[in-house]
Amino acid sequence: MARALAEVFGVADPRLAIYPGAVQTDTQDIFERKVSESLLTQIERGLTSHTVSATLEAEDEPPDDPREIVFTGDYDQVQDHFIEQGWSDGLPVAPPTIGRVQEFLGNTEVAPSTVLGVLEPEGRELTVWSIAVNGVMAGCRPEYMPLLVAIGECLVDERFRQEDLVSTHGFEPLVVVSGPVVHRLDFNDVSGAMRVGRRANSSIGRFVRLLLRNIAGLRIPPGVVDPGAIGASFMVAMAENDAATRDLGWAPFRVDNGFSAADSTVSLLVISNHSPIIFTTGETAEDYLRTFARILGNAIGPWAYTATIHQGFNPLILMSPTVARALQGFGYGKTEIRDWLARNMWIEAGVTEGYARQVGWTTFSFDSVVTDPDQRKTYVASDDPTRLVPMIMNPDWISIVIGGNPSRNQSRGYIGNLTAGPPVTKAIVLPRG
Amino acid sequence: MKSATSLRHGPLTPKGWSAMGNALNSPVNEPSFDVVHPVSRRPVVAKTSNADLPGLTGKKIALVWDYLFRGDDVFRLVKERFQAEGSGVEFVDHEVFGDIHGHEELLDQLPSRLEETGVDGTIVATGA
Repeated sequence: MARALAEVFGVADPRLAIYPGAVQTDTQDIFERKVSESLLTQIERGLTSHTVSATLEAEDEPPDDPREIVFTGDYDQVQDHFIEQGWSDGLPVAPPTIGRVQEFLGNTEVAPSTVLGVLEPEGRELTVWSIAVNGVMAGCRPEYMPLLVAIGECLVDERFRQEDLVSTHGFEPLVVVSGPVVHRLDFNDVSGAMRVGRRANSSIGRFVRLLLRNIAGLRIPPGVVDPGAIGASFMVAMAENDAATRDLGWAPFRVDNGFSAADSTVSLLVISNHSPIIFTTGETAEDYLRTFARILGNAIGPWAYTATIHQGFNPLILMSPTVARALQGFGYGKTEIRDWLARNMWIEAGVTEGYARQVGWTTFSFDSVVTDPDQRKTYVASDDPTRLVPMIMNPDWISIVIGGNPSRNQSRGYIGNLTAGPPVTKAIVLPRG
Repeated sequence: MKSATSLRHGPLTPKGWSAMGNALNSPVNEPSFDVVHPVSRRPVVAKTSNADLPGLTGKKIALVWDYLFRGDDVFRLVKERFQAEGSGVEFVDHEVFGDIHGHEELLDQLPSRLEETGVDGTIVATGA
């Protein structure tokens, strides 16, 4: 992967010294032996006697004119060709003909040649044309194009830190759709909300992963650049149940993110794992929220330390409408729920610090990382590893989206680790008329 | 690579075989698709290459780390090896440059910081 990235950044022949093996699992004596016998020699050679090979040639670059036909074949031949070229995610793709692409482009007023930004690590331009092509391939309908453009805008927003998706962690972006567009485009926001089965939810989720494959360059073997050790598959797009949210009198997700109720939005955030289903019941709000805290807290677990690095941690709760109604009956709205959870989700400092070291930050400690004086009062109150530290510093970091089966008391938490993908929200801009 | 279709029906039938063979082995009335490239272009990046150092004697080397995967341990062993040989190699420790993992501002400053410290070469320890 280092050689592939070096090519992207213009280094003809990178001077690499590669540790022989998995550095994290070797004992100290094996590690020191490998460094002494192999790595140090490579380092010295890399500095003093590196041979630069011939200039790298661009391989299989797309044509200057994106409308150029690059392959002709029947359905099976197209599938085989796309797999051989590394353009496919392994599922059948809808062949991206010019006619199909143009149908998509007819649903946006943004010019096809518009460059929204660049996706890493391959540094390719994310154009409106390429969005349409990959939207066709994903099985989207042309009417989804405004959402696809908005997703592209989220990806290239510097707050999203798309470049950090190049990670062995194998994060996966989650699209959340909020607003009138949910019913207009027939998203599923009730039972099976996060299951494949409805074209809008499924194809839009798949589209994001195809973009990351074809424009960002993240391809698993036989590709080179996707370093995901195990990885995760695309998630279907999550759609907010607007009617249920309105009945509660709660602000919808798009309003939480600074937009108006009349708007439709897409939000993009990165998920590293989700919780088990959270079943809740009880006679008080605390009965419900204690269970949320326990199960959500377990799902976050020792990743909690990452909140102190990037000053954020953004779990999202997909909450059953009936659970939300019960909490509302106890006088709890989104603000009260967030506040309660932030005040009641704690973890032993030593547990989360120890996990940081296992992840690879071998010198991590809150004492060395936390510099804000107020935060130090919380995180570095002592050096006792059993001291409790908060998982969520700021209740506003918690997102709540209403959805799922409205007759079941089941909710679920979606957890990122903030290395990549803080939530970013963009308006869906429909073409006039 | 054999597709699922070819595994079920046998190898894809080359053109020129008998009509009977084609009828048995090829899907009937299969449309043909003219498809475009799904990958966009990337800006041309100039290839760069630096000259080798003529040995390490008397040289100043920066140590840069993303604070992951025992890079500090590697640097300790680097210093033990090259300074023990009496080569007069001077190292600028990684703390001078900070944690480059996920900190864009430090990465942006890195070229100028390396220039300011007057180093002859850099060892960058990264993992992910």
